[in-house]
Amino acid sequence: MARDAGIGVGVSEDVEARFVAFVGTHRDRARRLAWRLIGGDEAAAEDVVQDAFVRAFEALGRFREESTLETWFYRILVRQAHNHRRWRRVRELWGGVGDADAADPRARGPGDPALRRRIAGALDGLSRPQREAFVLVHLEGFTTAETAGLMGKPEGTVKSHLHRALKGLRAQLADVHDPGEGISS
Amino acid sequence: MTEQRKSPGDPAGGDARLVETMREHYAPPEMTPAETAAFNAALWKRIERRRARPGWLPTLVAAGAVAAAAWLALPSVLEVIQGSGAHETVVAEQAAPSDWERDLADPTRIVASNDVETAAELPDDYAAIASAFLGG
Repeated sequence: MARDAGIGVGVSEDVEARFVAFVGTHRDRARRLAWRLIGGDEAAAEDVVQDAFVRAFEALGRFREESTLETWFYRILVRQAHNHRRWRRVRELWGGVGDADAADPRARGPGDPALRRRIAGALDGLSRPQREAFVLVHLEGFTTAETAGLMGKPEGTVKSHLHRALKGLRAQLADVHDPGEGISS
Repeated sequence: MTEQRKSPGDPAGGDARLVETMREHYAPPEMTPAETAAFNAALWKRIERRRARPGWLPTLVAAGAVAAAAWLALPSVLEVIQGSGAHETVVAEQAAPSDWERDLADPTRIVASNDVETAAELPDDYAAIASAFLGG
């Protein structure tokens, strides 16, 4: 990631270089995670991710090791995504905000858009901890131990959430087949 | 942090296929190089704006919010205070009628009052009225 604009005095080259490297490493994964947690809104996901990166920039000096900064960053990201969902719900109640794909004219992405909406709907039907645990572990590949750290819950609780999430999703998406067999939506 | 690492708790069979399908279909589009550059530029702008913001601004905003909440709550607080006072006033007024109310209802009380000196001290015009109406 190259920096085009000057940050100004007070930012060392070392901090800047660390931050540039951090963004380059985590941008795509953070964006994908936020997108999946929020429910498929690209613009909102970008907003959430940028906000989390700004906080990471401000906190860089506090973290000597990248691994702890990484854990802290994803924890912030998960919390910001939840805040966005909560405020979107309030806006829906008061102002009638519509479907994420309808709101985003670039409703594009891999695979079948209708299936994408069904999956978003099924995830929406889970409780917050179940949804977060499922997305973090099964879609993003965090281990249950890492997810427990991100969610601030014991690992056993995370496993329980995963079990319930899979049960709920199985019921909602029972007719979704293996890609090799053709997708049913 | 690891990505896509298998663990003993991974779903098996149908659940594994479901998860794989979701992983494949439920993802944002890849960013183009132009979109990546725009993302980075927007991120630096945010950082600059945040650094340019005065440090006391969040405190000021929080203080303003507290003041606004207190101001909005003030009428209901005043109503509670005044309401309890009015209630007491109503209760007091519903007590036994005062002497002047009894006098108004029954003017003969004035004349029949044991307090002869008070009756004798009526102003002349009142005394004239009393004598005209009460046969004095």
